[in-house]
Amino acid sequence: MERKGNPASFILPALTFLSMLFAVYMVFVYAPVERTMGIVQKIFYFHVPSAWIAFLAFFCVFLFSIVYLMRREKKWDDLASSSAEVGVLFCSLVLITGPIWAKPVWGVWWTWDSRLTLTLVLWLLYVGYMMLRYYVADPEKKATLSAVVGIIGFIDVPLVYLSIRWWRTQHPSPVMAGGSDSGLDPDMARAFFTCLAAFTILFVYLLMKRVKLEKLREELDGLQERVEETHPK
Amino acid sequence: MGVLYKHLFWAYAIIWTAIFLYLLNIDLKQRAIMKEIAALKKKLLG
Repeated sequence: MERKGNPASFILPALTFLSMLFAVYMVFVYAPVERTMGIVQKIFYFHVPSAWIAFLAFFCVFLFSIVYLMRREKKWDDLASSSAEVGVLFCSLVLITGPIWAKPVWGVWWTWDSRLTLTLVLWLLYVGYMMLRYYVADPEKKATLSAVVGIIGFIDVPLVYLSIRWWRTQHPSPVMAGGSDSGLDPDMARAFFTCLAAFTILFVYLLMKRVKLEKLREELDGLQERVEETHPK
Repeated sequence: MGVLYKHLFWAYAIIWTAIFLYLLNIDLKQRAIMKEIAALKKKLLG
C-alpha cells in the first residue's frame, strides 16, 4: 500500500507495467523465431534477464553489506536483505526456466555442467543467507553475520558468469561478447535489450517495495515499544 | 511443435505467476502492518 498523493508511488509501477508490456510485444511479435530451436528459444528473452537481475541483486547485497559493516547503519542491512530476497526469486526463476528450455533442446532437464551447478550453488548460498536471517534473533548479530555471508557469497557470481568461457560446457557459449563467432540477430538483440531494461526497472520497483516493508516493520516495532511503555500490562 | 509451445507457455506462466505472487505477498504484508500501525497510533492517542 503506497502513501496517497506521492507521484513516485504510481510512476514506477506504471513504468514497470508498460515496459513489461512492451517487452512482451518485442518477444512475441517483433523478434523473429530462431531457425534451429524454434519457438522455444523465446524463453531466452526472460531467462537471461532473470539471470542478470539475480547477478545485479547479489551485487547489491555485496555492496550494501560492505557499507553496513563500515557504517553499522540499519538502512544498509535492510537494503542488502531486500536485495537478497529479490535475487533469490530471480535465481529460482533461472533455475526453473532453464530446465524447461533445456528439455526440448538438449533432451534432458538437468545436467551437472559447470554453469548449471554453479548457479545452483549460488541459489543455495543466498537461500542460506535468508535462513541465517530467519534463525538469528539478535538484530545486530543477524545483520553482521548475514553481511559477511552476503560478501563471501558474491564470489560465486563471477564464477557463474565466466564458467562458460573457462570450460567447455553443455550450456551454450555466450551470445554477447563471446568472441568473433558470437552475436545476435539485430531484431533479436533489440528485443533482448528491451527485456533487460524492463527487468531492471522491475528490479528497482521490487527492491523499493521490499525496503518499504522493512521500514513499516521498524515503525511498527517502535510503536509497539511506545505502547508497552505507556500502557504496561 | 506443440511440445515447444507447451514449454514456452510454462516458462512464461511460471515467471509471471512467481512475480505476481511475490508482489501480492509484499502488498498484503504492507497492508496488515499499516492496519496494526493505525491501531497502535489510535491506542497511543486515546
